[in-house]
Amino acid sequence: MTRELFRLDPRTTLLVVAVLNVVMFSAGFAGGAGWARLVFMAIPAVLAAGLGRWIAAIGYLTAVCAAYVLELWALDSSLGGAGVIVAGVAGLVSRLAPGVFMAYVAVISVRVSELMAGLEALRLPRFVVIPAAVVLRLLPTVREESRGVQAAMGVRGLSLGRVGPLPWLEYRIIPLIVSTVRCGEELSQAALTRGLGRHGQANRIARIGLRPADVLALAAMAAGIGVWVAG
Amino acid sequence: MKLNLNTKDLINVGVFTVLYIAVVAVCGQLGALVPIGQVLGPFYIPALAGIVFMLFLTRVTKPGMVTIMGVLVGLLVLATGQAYWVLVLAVILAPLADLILSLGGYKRWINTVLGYIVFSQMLIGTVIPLFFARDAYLARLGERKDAAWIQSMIELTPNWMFAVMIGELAVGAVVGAYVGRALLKKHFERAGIA
Repeated sequence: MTRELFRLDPRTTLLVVAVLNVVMFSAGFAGGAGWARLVFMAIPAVLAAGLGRWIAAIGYLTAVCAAYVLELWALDSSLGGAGVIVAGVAGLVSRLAPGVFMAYVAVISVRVSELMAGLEALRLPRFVVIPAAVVLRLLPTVREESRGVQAAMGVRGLSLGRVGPLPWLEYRIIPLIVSTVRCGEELSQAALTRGLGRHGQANRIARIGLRPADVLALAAMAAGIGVWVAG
Repeated sequence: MKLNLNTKDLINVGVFTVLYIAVVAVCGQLGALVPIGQVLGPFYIPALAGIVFMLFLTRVTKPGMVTIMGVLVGLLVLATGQAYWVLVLAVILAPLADLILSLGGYKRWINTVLGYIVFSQMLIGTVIPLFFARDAYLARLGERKDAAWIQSMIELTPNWMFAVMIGELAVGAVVGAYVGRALLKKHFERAGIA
């Protein structure tokens, strides 16, 4: 149960996702802003490590730190046009990767029932809560189906090189859509059977609320924004 | 406006939002493999996502669903670290697309094509910072770099590319609508899911 300590409240998770992306795209290169970016780059890695995803966390941290160092190096070097491109690509990676990785952490850590409880606690209407919960529930499914389709195509020898881009896309996308839509229909039936369509407030067994991990995450974000504003 | 959507509609919105995002991601993979894909992205992404959108429209009978899907796509794009402009555009364009589609009863072909063109334009949000926040970006760079360096940056992203990309999105959306309709007939009706 130690891993439970590292799981954030779904609302905290969403806040981290939002603030992290704002910081990544608004903060500059050096000084306080640079430190703020470092703090926010570290947050998803710590969360993933806390969830037991050590390899993913270390891999992400290595890649993002390399990109950050490369960006600063290319900006300070005198490479001319090549430097612009290197800095641009490295900058894009160092700004995008934390958001993508945080989204990954959110998908693996937030449970559907918790998300629904959290969003309802925020008094969001049903037409926001239900599609959002379905998206969270289906994202891993689609990834799995996509891998399955890819493997099936591989077995039949239908590679991009052999069939050309358009048939390749058709063979990849159509089965993915068909199987996901079927999953969705089954999901609908299961959810309706379990009373998702009923009116009124549902009782929830998912426990949400502020826990030590949430306080730490909020403190880390406050510190990150603090050094940005101060620096 | 009163939303008259039942739970099944809302689940369908979620399912097709995921699919839309997934297809865009698979297309991005192709873009990474074939260099020309980067420039043609605004064309072929709506062209292929049209398959999902046309199938989605077979599930849509009342206003609201397209709007929610658009806003959710905007939120998801935001959550994966892309520009918030997609969300801003989604809040404006998705209801507009919804209105156009609902005027055609979600069936009439001309409304479908127009609605999908409007819906697809939100994807231009991913490149807005590249073109319009450039001054702020360059000003920040200017503190560290000389003028020649900045000049080469400007040459890499000419302004007319933005208009070209809007056009690409519109043409891609028209193609996507037709491709979607053709594939709907070829695959989905036969498989019994359209």
